Amino acid sequence: MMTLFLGMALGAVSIWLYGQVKALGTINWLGRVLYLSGIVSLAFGIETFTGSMIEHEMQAGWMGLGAFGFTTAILFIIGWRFGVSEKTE
Amino acid sequence: MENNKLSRKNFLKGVGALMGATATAGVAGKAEAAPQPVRTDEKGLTVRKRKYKYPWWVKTVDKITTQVNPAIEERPGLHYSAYYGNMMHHDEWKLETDKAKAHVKEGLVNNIPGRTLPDVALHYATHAYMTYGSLGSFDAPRSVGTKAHDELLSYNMHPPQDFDLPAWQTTPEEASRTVEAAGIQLGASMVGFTQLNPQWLYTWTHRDPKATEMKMVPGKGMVIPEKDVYVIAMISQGPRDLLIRNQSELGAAGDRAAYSRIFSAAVGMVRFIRGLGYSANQMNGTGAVIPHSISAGLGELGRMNRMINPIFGGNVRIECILTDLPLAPDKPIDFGLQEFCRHCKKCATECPAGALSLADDPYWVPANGFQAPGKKTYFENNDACASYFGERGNYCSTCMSVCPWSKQDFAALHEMTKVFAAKTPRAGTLFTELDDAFGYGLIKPESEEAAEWWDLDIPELGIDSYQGKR
Repeated sequence: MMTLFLGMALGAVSIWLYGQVKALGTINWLGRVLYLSGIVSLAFGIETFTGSMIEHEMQAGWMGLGAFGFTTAILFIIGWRFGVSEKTE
Repeated sequence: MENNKLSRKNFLKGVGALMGATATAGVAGKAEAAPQPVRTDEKGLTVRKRKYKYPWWVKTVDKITTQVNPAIEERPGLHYSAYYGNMMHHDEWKLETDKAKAHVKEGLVNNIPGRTLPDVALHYATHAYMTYGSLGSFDAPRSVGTKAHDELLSYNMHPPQDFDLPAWQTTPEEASRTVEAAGIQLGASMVGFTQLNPQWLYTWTHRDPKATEMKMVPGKGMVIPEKDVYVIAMISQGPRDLLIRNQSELGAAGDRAAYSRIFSAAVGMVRFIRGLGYSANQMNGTGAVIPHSISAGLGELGRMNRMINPIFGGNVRIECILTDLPLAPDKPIDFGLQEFCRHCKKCATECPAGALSLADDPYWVPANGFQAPGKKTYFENNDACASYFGERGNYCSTCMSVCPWSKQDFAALHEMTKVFAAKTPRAGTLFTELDDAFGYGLIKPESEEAAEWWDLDIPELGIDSYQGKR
C-alpha cells in the first residue's frame, strides 16, 4: 500500500513539475526523454530504498537512493540545458 | 470542440470494453491454470512441469552443470561429508570441546554482542528440531534410526493398508504436483524430484531387495529398501537477519533454524508419503543430499561446495526423502553459476577459517581424505572448517550468508542484478565489488549492530515465504 501511495505521489509531482517547466519554455523530444528517464530513475531509487529498508539492509537502501537520485539529477540538468528552450513572445 | 467532450454513451462504451478485456484475460488465465498435458524429454522419459516456475533467466538442462567423471567416482564415506564425522576422527576432539566451552563462557561473562546469554539460548532453542534430522545429529534424541524417531513417524499413522485398501494410485506427474504442494505446506521453500543415484549413497549404506524400511543393522551399516528409487529433494531458506550475523551465537541460531525447519518438513513428508501407502525414509545419513538436489533442479554446486539456489542463494538447507512412490523428475538447472563462481570468490575471501579454495578454476583432485573424488569442483579444507566452528561451540555458515545470490527480493534491484549475473557471469568480480559497496554481507561480528537483531521487526520464523513468488 505504501508503494502505491509513493507511486501516486511521485506521479503527481512529476506531472506538476512538467507543467511548471512547460510554462517556462518549449520542451523538445530530448527534454521529454531525459525527463521521463529521470523520473524512472528516481522511482527506481525510491523502490530500492523502501525495499532495502524492509530487508533491514540500511546501507544498501541509502546507497541505492543516492545512486539513482544522483542519476536523476544529472538527467534533469542535461535535459534542462539541452531539452528546454525559453519561450519567445 | 464538441467532439472532444466525453459523452455518457462513450463513457459507458469504454467501461464495457474494459470489462470485456478483463473477462477475456480471466478466461485466458483460467485456461493457463488448467492441468497441463504430460511432457516427455528427447529420450521419451516423462518430465514434470514444475508448479513453481523459475524466472526466465534460469534454464533447464539435461545434465548437472558440475563436471563428473564416473571412471574415478567413488562412493562417499560418511566422514567424507559430515563435519562431525571428521571431528570424531580428530585427535583433538576433546581439546576442541574444551576450547568451545571456554569460548562460549567468554561471551557470556563479558556480555559480548551476539554471544550473550539470550543469543546462546536462542541458538539452543532453534536447535530443537535438528533432533528430527539425521545421523548428522548422532546422539541427539529422535535422530534417524532411533526408537524415538520411529515412534515419531508412526504415531497416529494409518496408511490405506490399515483399511484393507491399496496405496494411492495416480500418474507420476500428478504425484509430483501433490507431493510438491504438501512439501511447501510442511515447511519447505522449494521441492524437486529426481531418481536415486546409488553412486551417491554412503559406503555404509546397502540396498536390500528384502528390506521394507530403512534400518541400522549392527555390523553391516544402514540398510535401505531397494525399491526406493525416487528422491524428493526439499530445501528451506534460512532467516537472513540472523544469518548475516554469522560467526556468533545469533548466526548459529539462524543456521539451526533453517535445519530445524527442513528436518521438521522432512518428518512431515515421510509421514505424508507413508500415509499414501508408500515407503519413505529420510536420506540424510544414508546418502549425499547435495548432488541429488542439484539433479532435482534445485540449484548448482558453487565454489563453497554447497548448493546455490537461484532464488535463495546459498541460504538454504537440504533434506531428501527416498520413496517407492513413482514421481516424475525435474531437470537440472543452469543460471550461469559455474562461470560466476570462477570470478566472484566472495565466500572464499570471507571464510574465517580460510577453508575455501581461491583457485581460478575447479579441479578433480580432492583436498584431503575426507572427500570423494569424481567431480570437478573447488575442493575445500573441511578439516579447517570443522575445527573453526568446533572450537567456538557454534555453527558457522559465513560462506552461504555472504554469497551475492543470497538476497531477499523486496528491492527490484536484486532481481535485476541476478538477471545480469546470470547472463553476464564473467562480470562476477564487478558484482562482488558492488555487493561490498552496498554493504551486503556479514554484519561485523561482536559489534553493537549485531545485537540489534533483538530490536528488529521480523516476519514469522524470520523468513519471507513469498520470496521468488512476487
